[in-house]
Amino acid sequence: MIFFSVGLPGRFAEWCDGVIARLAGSLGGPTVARQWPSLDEMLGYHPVGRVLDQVGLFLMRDAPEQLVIGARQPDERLLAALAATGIPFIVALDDPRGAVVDILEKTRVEPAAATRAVANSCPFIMRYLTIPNALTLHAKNARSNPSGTVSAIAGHLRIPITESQVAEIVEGLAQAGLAPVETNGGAGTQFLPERSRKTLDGALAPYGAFFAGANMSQFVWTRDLFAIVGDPIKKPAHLIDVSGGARCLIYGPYIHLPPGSWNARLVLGFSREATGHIFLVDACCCDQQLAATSFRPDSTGIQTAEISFSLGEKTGQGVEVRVMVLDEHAKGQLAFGHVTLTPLALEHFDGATQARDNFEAVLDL
Amino acid sequence: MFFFVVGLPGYFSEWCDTVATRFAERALGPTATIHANTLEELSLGVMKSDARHAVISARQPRGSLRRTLVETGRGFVAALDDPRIALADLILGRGTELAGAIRAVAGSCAAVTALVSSTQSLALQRDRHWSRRETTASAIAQHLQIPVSGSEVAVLAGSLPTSGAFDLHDATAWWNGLPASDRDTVTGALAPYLEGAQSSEIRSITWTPDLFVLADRPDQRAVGAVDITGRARCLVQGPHIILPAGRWGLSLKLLFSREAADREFTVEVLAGAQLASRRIRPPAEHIMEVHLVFVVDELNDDLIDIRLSNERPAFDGAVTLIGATLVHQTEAAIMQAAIEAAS
Repeated sequence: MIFFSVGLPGRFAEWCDGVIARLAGSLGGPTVARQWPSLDEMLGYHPVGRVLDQVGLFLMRDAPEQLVIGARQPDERLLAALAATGIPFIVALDDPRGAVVDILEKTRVEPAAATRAVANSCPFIMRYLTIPNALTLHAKNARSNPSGTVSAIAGHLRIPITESQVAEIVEGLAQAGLAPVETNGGAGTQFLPERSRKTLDGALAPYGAFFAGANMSQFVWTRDLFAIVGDPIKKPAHLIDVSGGARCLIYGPYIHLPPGSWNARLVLGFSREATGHIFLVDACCCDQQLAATSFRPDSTGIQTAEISFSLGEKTGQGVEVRVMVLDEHAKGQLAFGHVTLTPLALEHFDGATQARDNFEAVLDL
Repeated sequence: MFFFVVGLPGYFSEWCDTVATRFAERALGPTATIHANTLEELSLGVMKSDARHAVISARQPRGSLRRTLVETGRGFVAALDDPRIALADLILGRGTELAGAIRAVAGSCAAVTALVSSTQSLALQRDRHWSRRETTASAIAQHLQIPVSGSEVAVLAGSLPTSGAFDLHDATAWWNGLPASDRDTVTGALAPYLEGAQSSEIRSITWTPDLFVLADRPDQRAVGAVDITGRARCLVQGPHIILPAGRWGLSLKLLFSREAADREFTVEVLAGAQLASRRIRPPAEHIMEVHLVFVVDELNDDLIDIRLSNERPAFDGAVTLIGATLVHQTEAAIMQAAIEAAS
């Protein structure tokens, strides 16, 4: 049998994977638990393979009797397969910022890289909340009642279990360092520098609100999520010399967004010498330019550039935003602020219930 | 547990599927038959099935499934057949239309040929092995490591049919009754896989217009003049067939009408993504041969398509697809061509 657990790349989803693996193990035969994509892959920049391809690979390679898949970027094909087969599965929800803290505790990556990994998980998971065969679990509730959560998972997956087995699973996972407690003693992101907290909040707070049942608001991609052309390690935190010919100056962050229409507003600063030269900003996805606008800053100081674009189902590496200078003889300096992304119209947004409520309100029913 | 049976579409492969499934059921319990050519289809099949064991029946095993099968070191059955007989199985036995049957058999030949040389395969020929059903069934059980006794083999093999729904005379009569153009289509697409063709040779495949369709009317074959009037669009596409991995040279022959001359067209080769493309501008009313070289990756899971599109709207004109010839450029052939060019 195959069991699916969909969740963010954090501690709570890992705990759920562990619970399901132990429950599946109780059915007998070799049990294999795999996470896809792995954290390393999520931190990288290569497009990840489809979950069902990996499931096929695990089935053939490991020949398990029970296979537990912890899907961290669950794609549309898996969604369609789960909807078509009606196989019960688990959605493990946590505050995405907590998942970033979990990654930072486990690895030595920069907060921006961990933020990107979690931000690339959230839009995929959003889609799974409306499927009837999903059991959505919130970390907060599970922390207050781990035994009840294990029982709920077992019931949903139709795996018979006794109370003593529930206690064994909770205890066994705690001993293995997988208790569903908050990392960092619940202090959240307070230990991070303010700049990193801004990056986390900007990229993830709207998802946190959405998972908690509220509407999704604006995203802010701060400069820490972007890179400077020619020096990808360096963040555009300082002034960038625009002289040196027409070229791309800044690019990033390769983050997926929910499908729909978006407005991106870039905040840029220009020195006196840079005014009067032509710049271009664009948004790309899957090697395709989605929108672009060129402009000539006419005064020194802060300027904004806006583009609107539509996104289909999430594929490839995610959205890339670029800033380019188009004048061969441009001079002066540019400062990169941030990108504000406003959802204009999202597909599958908020689920059917909220949409129906809105219709009913409009129609005065 | 999974047991793999790859093979050409037709009754013999189905017989091998049945043998493996019945033996697995007898030895291990409920066993499903899952038709899967990709890892994703395998996953979906397992998700839909409640059985703990399954026979994976693959008629066109794609690149990633083939590689995984080889990497796992798992034994599998390869059910082989004369492609023309497999074609007759589909057309006479299943009522498949000719172009669809050619696509199925040609794609299967390309995919299965890539696996037959593996040491893990038990290669079974329809003409040699099907008549000796008990011995063949026993060999299948042994190769797939399904523990069944000799008496069980005898009982099970005895209960299974030994031939398809028609005999060879029917197939011969059907073949002889085909119009010459249909026979050309079959021979062009299947010739490299017929008995006697060596895999080390440069293999030439010809796809006739019968295997292509009008892009905006996919139920119509691209036979004869195709009207280019209207918006810029894809005009012709096909044949949607698997090709063996490697480097291929395509020669696409097209006839342009006078009105279509001096207009821009694009020829593309695709396997999911674009593999090669060329923009052409026929200078006058004449036959034009477009040459493209492309590489099909070992792990390619997608079918090959050729697409012809006009780049601008047209008020008049027509293009006729004459045919596509593909030459598998083996290293030896590339070297030979280089030597000839140098001399």
